[in-house]
Amino acid sequence: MAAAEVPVKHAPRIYLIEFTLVTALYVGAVLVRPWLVAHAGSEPLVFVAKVLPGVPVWLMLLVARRQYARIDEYARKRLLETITISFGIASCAMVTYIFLIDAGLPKLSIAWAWPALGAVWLLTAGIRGIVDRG
Amino acid sequence: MKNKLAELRAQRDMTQGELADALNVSRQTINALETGRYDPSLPLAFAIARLFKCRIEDVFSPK
Repeated sequence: MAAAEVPVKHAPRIYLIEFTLVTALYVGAVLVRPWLVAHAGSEPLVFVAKVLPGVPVWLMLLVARRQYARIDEYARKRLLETITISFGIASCAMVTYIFLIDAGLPKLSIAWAWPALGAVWLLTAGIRGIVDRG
Repeated sequence: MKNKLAELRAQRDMTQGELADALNVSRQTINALETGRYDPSLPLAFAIARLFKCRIEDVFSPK
């Protein structure tokens, strides 16, 4: 069944299942990667083993795309608005942080960018959820 | 836009959840429509009118 044909009320449960499966694939690929790299033998296979965790990351994009097709028009509008607001907040925070580093704040690793963006997204979605409920 | 969605739903003794299922949208969407926080697309407006067996302008009107 195509994603768009699924009843809207089942969308969150299906998304949770698909996202959990792909996350499990990603964690599995990361865990098995060192063993595969060590035992791959030939150069091309070592390359494949090294980039293996990247495959489930692209599957996550597919999962997100399928969920977007399943949700209704109001949920799509809210999702896009939340992403836009989060992106705006994260951009402002990033620019501010650059000046704060100059003012003496410790320089963080670029690896903090994704958790920070995720946290802003969750916070924005949470606030919007509370506002919409009221 | 104003709408008579809550009124029409109440006349048919339907819950928001039942109306949401009938239109294949979420209950949150029905709530947003009834409270005027969201104006539907034309296809959804037609689906609502069809469900209540009336014209779009019988359900929706300009503010």
